[in-house]
Amino acid sequence: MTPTAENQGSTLVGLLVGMAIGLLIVGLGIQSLTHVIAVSSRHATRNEAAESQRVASRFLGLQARAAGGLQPISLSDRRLISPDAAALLPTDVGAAGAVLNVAHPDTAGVDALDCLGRQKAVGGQIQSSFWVSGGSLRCRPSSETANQPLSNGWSNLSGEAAVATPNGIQWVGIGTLPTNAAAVLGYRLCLTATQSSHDDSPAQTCADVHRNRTPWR
Amino acid sequence: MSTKQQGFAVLDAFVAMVVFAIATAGFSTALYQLQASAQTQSSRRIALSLLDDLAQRLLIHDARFGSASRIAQSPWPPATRDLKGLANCSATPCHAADFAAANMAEWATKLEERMPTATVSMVVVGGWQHWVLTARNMTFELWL
Repeated sequence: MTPTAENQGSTLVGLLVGMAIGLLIVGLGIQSLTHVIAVSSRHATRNEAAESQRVASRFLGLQARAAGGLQPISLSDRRLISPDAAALLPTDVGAAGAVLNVAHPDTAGVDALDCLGRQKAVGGQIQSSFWVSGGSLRCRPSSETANQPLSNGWSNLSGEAAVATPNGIQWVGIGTLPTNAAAVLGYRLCLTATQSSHDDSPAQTCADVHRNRTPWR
Repeated sequence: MSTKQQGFAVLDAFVAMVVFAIATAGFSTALYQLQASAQTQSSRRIALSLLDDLAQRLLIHDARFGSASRIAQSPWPPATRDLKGLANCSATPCHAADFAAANMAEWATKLEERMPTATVSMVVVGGWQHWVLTARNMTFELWL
């Protein structure tokens, strides 16, 4: 059948040009879409890591800042932190890195809470332990036998305590605090991320935490 | 050829291209703003984290040596940012000057790693240190 002027359709060149333009547009669209998805994924991962870090910092910071901080502490007062506190706290928890033990005298008032936000004293102290295992930062008050995962994405917890001595300040590992380590001025706590979530996210997050308390004399 | 099969006029093609260009430009602008907003938020978070870290470091100094010592021993910029020559205060205790020097050098290194384009200034006003961190047209202050 000979095509008439009304039904002659498209020419091959017309089709090719149309296909080329279509492919170009689709290609650009796919590229843009891929870019948007990648950016969105990066933002989601970064936000997740940031949220995880915020949660970890909040729990650790609140406990470390307030540890024994509502009463004047003398060098002979060892109630604040391990090793006295460790006697009532878990020692074998499969921790990757150190275990941070924090204790408050139960007479410290309403601000003294364990890591789950409660006031359950054991042995005259409100105590909590923090450690990393199974990819999570976990906490356990001494009044409980189970632990609570607080924040995910971590492979290690390490830290040092700034200990006041007659000669100044000395950084001591939180796992090896001496028995006269009552005058802890603050902590330097480091959490190592399971994997770097983004180029600008450090593999390890360290922060100094000052302990609220009467200045050492 | 009758008027029914004339195809697209140049004007139609031009209009289509303009519409496509506007849509593409709008999409790109939205994407750029999204990225810029995310970067600003990230910078704000890092800046606040750095200033909090600085405050905690300085307060540890305060707790042992007092505010006057901290103000006298913690100038900005620090005398050195090279940690190799400084005491790490782990093997033996540090006095105020050594502790402050190491403290400030560590923080300066951290600042350079996390916010290389940020600028920091500090002036002492009436017994207070006034720290100002500027990054991405944002200013953060710390009085201590």
